[in-house]
Amino acid sequence: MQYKTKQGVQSENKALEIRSLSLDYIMQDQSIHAVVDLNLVARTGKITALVGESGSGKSTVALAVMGIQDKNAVIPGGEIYLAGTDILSMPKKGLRSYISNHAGIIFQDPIDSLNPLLTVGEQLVEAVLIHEKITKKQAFTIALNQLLAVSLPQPEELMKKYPFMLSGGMCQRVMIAIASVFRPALLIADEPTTALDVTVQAQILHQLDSMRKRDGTAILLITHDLGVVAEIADDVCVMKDGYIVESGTADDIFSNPQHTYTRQLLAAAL
Amino acid sequence: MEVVLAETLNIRKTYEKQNLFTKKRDQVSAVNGVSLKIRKGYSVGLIGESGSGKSTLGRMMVGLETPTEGQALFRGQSISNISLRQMRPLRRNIQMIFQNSSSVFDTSYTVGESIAEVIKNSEKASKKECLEKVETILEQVGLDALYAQRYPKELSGGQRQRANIARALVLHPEFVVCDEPVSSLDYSLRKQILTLLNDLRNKFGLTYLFITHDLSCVPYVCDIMAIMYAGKIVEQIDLKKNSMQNALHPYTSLLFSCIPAKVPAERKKCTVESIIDTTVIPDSKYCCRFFPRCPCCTERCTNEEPLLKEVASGHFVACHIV
Repeated sequence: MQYKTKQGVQSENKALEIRSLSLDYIMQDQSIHAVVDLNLVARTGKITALVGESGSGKSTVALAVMGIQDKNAVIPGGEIYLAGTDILSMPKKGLRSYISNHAGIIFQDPIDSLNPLLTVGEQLVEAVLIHEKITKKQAFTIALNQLLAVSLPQPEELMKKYPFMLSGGMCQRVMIAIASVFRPALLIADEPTTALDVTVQAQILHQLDSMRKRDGTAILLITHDLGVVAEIADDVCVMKDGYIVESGTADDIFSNPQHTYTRQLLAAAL
Repeated sequence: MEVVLAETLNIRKTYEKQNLFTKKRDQVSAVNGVSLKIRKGYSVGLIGESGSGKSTLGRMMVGLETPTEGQALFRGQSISNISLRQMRPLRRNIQMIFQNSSSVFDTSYTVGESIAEVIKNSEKASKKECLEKVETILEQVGLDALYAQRYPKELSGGQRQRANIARALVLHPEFVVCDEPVSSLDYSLRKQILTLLNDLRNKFGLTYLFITHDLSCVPYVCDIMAIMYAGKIVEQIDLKKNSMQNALHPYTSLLFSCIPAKVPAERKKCTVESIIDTTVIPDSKYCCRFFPRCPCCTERCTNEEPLLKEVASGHFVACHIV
């Protein structure tokens, strides 16, 4: 490949590696440093949690990895290695298809992320057809299997339904199905359970857990809820005002927090 | 014996839903015969999933919704079928903290003006008195008095939630319904707001109906926990007499198993089989509404409705198996 690739043997089990990434939002009269010198690794088959308050810049990181940051966002420096290639130094052409082949994203509000005018089936088939040149029938079968994989009951019925007919938890599972159609190396879950009930939250977390075990997907879980992190994450990065203040394995962070901010967060547990 | 402050008598609410194309009318029953007594000074936690009718029950107890059947009482007086004029003097004693703090405030009013409007509605007060009251209540909920001149969009989520609480408490009501006051907030703010609610309760002697879907904040604020499923209360525990861990209903234990672990070492194996949602709630009146999801369902559950029975002092369960 002619692009910068990361040397070394280790790169195989790193689905995502971010090196000293900075990102500024340019406003009319000022610029805001949303992300400053951020280093982060998401390992294959592991769940990496990015924890922080609202406004700490964690969603900005997710958008930057997907290449869908706002127009006024400027990246002055840093490298984002997605599946071994630096996406920031790639030419614009082909960038979108490269990213969408290697990473999927699910958002906080599942009902708003689906197109209200198309049925679940149409949206799934569309996602399949973008990636591969196959007939609609074949795409339909893939879509059906995809719904079964996220353990949604009666997939044939479901394919004909519109998003508003489904509950929040079902919509979120449809989103996971769409995001993982082509077994991406990385799945970014941006606050996937914040808008959901506790019982549904448990289901979605279980879904993510079984997905990384089955497909070996690396999951970057962005959340503000330390309960979710304690339940499911392997690695934890704590983010505050654009900086990562502490990172380590989940056990270390919870049993032996070093940074004052991490201690404050842990003390806020009920 | 404490005074029963708020009470519902076998209250029901059904919504009519009309299909846009077929013009077929459907009835959705949100609350299905709930009798609940809230004594003065107690804080009752009402827990359930979304769609279980807990918010509807809360709104009926404040008088924002009219029940289809049954009555909601406040201090022994029915508030369900009275006119708005009769409601007005009662209103200052019954307030509600709404879930979404950003839609509570008018965006073109300052926070101070919004809160002052509540005062103007129920008593004659000069501008100066109003302002004083607004500033005192803002300080009591932990905001600087200067915030009265700010617009809602200039406040952060936590500050807005505090202002929202200030709006509900400015008249010093006796009974407050808190509809998911912390579920839209950041993790780090949750404890702050709950502590604030506890402090205010001690300060003003408030009575709460605390609506939430998260069991983990229940021991923090509630004296009585009532679990609601599909419009019915399935379990009610007095936490002063019984431990929360003694819960017996299968639905309650399902909710318990969904609380995320506090530390990674406490992770438990997920019992997802029972969680998997068959959101179908049986129509029949003569069955336990939980049976399609229940792991220990028997034939009796499918053809006989369980009633609330007292299994220990202050502990009620509606289940055949218990």
